[in-house]
Amino acid sequence: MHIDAFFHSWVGMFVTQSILHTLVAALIVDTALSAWNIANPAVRQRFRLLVVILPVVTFPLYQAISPERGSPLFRLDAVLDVTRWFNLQLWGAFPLGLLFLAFCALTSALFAFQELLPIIKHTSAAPLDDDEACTPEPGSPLDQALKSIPGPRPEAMIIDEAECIIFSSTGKRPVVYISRMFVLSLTPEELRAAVAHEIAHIRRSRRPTMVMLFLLRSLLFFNPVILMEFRRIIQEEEKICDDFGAALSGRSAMAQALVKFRDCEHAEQAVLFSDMASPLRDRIVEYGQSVQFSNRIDRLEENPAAPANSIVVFCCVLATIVTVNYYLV
Amino acid sequence: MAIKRTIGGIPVFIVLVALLIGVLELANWIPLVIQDGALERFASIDEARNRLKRPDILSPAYYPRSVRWPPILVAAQDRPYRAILAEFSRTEGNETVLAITQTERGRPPLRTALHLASVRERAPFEVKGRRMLLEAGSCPSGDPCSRLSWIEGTDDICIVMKDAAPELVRIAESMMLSRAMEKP
Repeated sequence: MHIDAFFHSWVGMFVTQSILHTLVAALIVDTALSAWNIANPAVRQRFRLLVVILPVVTFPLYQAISPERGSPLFRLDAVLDVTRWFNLQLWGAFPLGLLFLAFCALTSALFAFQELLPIIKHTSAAPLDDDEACTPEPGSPLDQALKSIPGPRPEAMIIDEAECIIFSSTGKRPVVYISRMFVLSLTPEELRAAVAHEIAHIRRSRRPTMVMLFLLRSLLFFNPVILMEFRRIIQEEEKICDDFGAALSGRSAMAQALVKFRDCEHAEQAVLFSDMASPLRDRIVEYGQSVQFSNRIDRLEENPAAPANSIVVFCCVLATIVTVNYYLV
Repeated sequence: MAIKRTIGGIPVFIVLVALLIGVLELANWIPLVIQDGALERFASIDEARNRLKRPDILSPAYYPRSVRWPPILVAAQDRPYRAILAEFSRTEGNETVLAITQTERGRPPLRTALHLASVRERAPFEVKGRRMLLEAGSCPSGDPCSRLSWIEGTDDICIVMKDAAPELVRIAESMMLSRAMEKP
């Protein structure tokens, strides 16, 4: 099979157009978020969901509406016909499309190793046993923080570690794990905010939207733009959970809990990276996490801007993406 | 306040989206400048012959009365393989009723609006020493359609028409004739 035949097949058109449509949708969404200065992470996440969902849905829809979308007549009048790029011959030897397919294969490998395998490992990993974690004593700061949070509460477990650790396990028996070191470093309000943040993760993980989102994301495993956009959705998820903690304890308490966690992590990493042989990759990851923490802290410390009418903006963005992407083949 | 902010963002959004569309159109144009031979629209079959330096591109000398001349679309490419497509509409109306493709052997022809969705009958036969395959069936719209295909040198030729088969054979004969007249 010639490579150009693949790009004109249904599967080839889906692969190329879904990537192109995701890229353009992401640019339009970013444009809208900055044009209307949308800061609310729940609203931002809803917009970003469009980037993941639409490319899966729109291609079959476009083809159903106009089966001749792949024809030369349509391609000649399109805003962008990406096969023009794919048919460019590099050094007269091989088409650029081959490079594109290699990039898709690399993205698929990244998805398998960075997203799918960790989830499988996490699912099959045994939960921490009682030797590693213990329940908080009644009346202790963690117990009080947990009891002050309205709604259904998961279990909380303390880990005896000399590091700042806080995470939650979802599933049938949701648990919030927190290290004693981190509990001791927080004020009662900050602890309440931190625990509320983890509880928000547990509550939100049960929403069908997130499960459906991951399934859709998995369907587009070859798509490099989705790889980045999914991570941005996860960052918005963190901010949504920050807002839950901030709503219960105040923005400043949530911000302070994050500052303390970041500083604690910094100290640990400084010890770790004092060895000059630390891989560059680890340093880059650490830097990326630090930037994300700083963004979250800055957002909590700023006064939230007055919101625009998000339904009107959402409809406007949706219509723009659907219309522009129709002319991209 | 919300209404004011919503309205205030609209012009910025429109300008930025217009800019994005401009960038996409630029990205569509750049490959044409970098390398010749990409799929392009031509005003006529003669123009395609001249610009692509392909004197071997066939065109019929005979057109049925129901077909309007000139063609509504002539598109051709040299890259990634040689291919040309000509589409003709009905004398009255814009519906495509005749499509002719000439494609490098073994490669898929350029997709045309007119194609056989189902084949009812197949009949091999010869025209001017060429072995051809005549197929009768229906188009995606359900209308009766016929297709005539054969090999001409290094190319596959295919004619699809929303009409009875005899007209197709006449068109093919006229293409052979014009070819023979061009040869010294």
